[in-house]
Amino acid sequence: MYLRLYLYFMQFHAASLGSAIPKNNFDATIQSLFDSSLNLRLEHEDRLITILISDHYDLPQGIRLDEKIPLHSLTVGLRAASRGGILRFDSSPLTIDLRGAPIWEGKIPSLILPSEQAWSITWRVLNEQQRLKNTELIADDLFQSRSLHPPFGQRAGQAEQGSLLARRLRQPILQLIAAAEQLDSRSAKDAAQNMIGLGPGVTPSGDDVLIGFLAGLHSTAGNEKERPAFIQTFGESLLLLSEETNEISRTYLYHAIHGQFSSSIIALLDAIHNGDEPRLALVSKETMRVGHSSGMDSVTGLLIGLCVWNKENSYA
Amino acid sequence: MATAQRMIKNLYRDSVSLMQFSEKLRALEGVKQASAVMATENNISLLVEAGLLASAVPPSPNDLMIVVEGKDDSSTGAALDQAEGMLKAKSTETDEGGVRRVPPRSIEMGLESMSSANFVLISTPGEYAAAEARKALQLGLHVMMFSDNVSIEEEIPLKQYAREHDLLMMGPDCGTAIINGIPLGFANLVRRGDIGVVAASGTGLQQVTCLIDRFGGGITQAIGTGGHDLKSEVGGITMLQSIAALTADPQTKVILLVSKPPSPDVMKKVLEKAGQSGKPVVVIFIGADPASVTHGKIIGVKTLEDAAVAAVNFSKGKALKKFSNSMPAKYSAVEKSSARKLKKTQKYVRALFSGGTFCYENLLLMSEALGPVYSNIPLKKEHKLKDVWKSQEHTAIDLGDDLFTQGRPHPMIDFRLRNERIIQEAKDPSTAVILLDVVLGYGSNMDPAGELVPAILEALKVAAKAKRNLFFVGFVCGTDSDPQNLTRQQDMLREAGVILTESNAQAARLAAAIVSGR
Repeated sequence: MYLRLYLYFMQFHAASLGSAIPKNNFDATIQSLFDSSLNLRLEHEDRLITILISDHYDLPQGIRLDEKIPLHSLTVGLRAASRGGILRFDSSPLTIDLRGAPIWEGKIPSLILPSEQAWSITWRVLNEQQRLKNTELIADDLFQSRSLHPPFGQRAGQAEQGSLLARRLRQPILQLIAAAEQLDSRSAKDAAQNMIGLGPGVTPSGDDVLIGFLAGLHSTAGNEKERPAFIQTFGESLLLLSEETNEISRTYLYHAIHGQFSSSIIALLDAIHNGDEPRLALVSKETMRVGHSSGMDSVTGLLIGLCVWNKENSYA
Repeated sequence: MATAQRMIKNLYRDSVSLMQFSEKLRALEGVKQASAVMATENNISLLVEAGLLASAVPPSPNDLMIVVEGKDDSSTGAALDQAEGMLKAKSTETDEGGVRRVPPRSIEMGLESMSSANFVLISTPGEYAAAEARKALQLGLHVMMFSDNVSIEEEIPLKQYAREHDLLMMGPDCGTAIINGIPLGFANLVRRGDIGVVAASGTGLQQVTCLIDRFGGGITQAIGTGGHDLKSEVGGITMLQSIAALTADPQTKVILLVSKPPSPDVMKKVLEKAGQSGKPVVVIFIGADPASVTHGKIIGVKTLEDAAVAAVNFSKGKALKKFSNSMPAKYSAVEKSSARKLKKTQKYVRALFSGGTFCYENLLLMSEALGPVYSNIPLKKEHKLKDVWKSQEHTAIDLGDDLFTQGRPHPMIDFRLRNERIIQEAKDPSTAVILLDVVLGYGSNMDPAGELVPAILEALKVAAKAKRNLFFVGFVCGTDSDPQNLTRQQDMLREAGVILTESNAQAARLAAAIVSGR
């Protein structure tokens, strides 16, 4: 008997599953592949789910593995299918057992009122990190003042500062803030239209700012009917606008619209809320480390979003 | 100055790579400015404003756009060519010889890169597995189908096709095999030798091959047939072909067959084929009377351990001894001293298995010695546990049963459920002995003893607090070559107080002797 073998069976276990991972069987195709993650395009839904290797970073659409798996053995376009909780890839011995993995919710706690000190520390760290990494968007360039409530709109008449990207984002961001303050979803949509898909990176800066901004809004909306209603209406428009950006970014926007965010955004919100200074510096830097500038761009949006509906609060 | 752009379809790179890529582009000769961004409408407009694009182009948000500004058209063109080359190089692997190698996406592509391959392992969802197997067989490849949930109606034509074309179709649901020394699926690293094994049972195959290795023998091939093969409808196609293949194989001097009792018509065919081999054939049809299969050079045995002993004896040309139905004498001292330490209330064995065949063999042996043994896979309907989560008198549980694995990994990998059950049994004042199997090899947990020991120590503490002595009996199914380190695993278990035996059969008999000798 002559049997020559080359394949090994490789089975891995998911460490956690984001709440948006389908609970039942699903089919998908590998949409993109990175060093420590890959995106799967679901066959019957217009969204992606992500397999990521990390010991702590969760996503609402994520299947997290805390051990290195040979992603290089897979290719874009390969089909995958989950049956009975086992995710398999065509023509690959790699399987991921999803059964028994804890579900990670990805929801932010509502009504987080940041302390002025915590907000200021985070804003300072953000700008330091952006300058250190020489990113195209530096939060200070969007506003003159570093006060807790950036004096939105006070830049009029000042000399234009910052990169071309910062200059392109400044006006829509100011419009977005004003629109949210006035609960004007139509104006917010117009502003977002000029931000969507704008900037470098696989999730463009404009999208990241919008995602962070939504996190800020969701966490400060509270129970007043008008604010959640604004988020919903704005979210619906944003969902349509998201067709103008790429699939990966669109997926993050989709979840942000539904109030679901990455574990790093949630941890940062928690640290800002609790005002624990040493932890805040640590958590904010970790959140900002995501991607080249994505983390910093979303923190920019988050800090702005936290201020919009908070002016009447006592921390001023 | 000239500008130029190029779209790269559906290409995604993480932000850090794109940033580094843009920097590399700017460093190219003749390039003044460069950028690589997703081709969204807003980015295109930004590039126009930055002077990197002469005019707007149609957006294509899922594509990557590379733009360069250089001193002339030839430098921008060369830069774009280099840029595209750099990007595409990242998406493929490079062999030492510099030839780009794309990982195969299909069986055909796999064959292109390994033209001498003649075997394929299929581990896709069940619904795709049959189609892939058909494709593989039509390409002239032997198949091991790890996938389950393939219907018997799909299995039969595949096996018939394989037989007609002199190919082997192992499975569906073939979880274990060792081919040319290479373990596949859940399997152990077993010494090479002259014993050929064919098995319709995964853990049965693991037990006999590991014991063959431990008793100084070795194997040529260990072929899995899949659990349905010996049913009347399938007719034992793979087992019959495997016997024929091992008969023709000059390296194979002894053949060993492992299964639960086949349907009578299939058993007849299998034994006929085995008899025609002219080689000594050891048969373990777990639960069948050994005498019913013993004929000529075919020797029927009762336990997996006896099967390994018989095969190794044949292999070494030794005479076969009569197999004993009782516990080996070397355990009598430990049995007596343990039995004496039990309280009156401690009457029962609680066997918690990760291997289904181990549980089945244990049920046969323990019920022979102790009477009824309750289980989720009982020998008789009336001994089915009323509540699988709660033991009843003598109990043996297959924790790999679907009942326990829904929403959880297999117990050979994930020990949480078994550990919880160990503590639960320790709290029960009627528990005298807890029996455990520990399976090593590829596919299993990399440190099973490390997983079990804390629960065992906790259980002993629970019993001690209630002023009871609790005994753990177990065995490790593995070889010295397995990645988990057999000796270390055994030492850890012994240090925790587990009485280790050589095999499942010995563990069953020792546990039974402890509770009946008190």
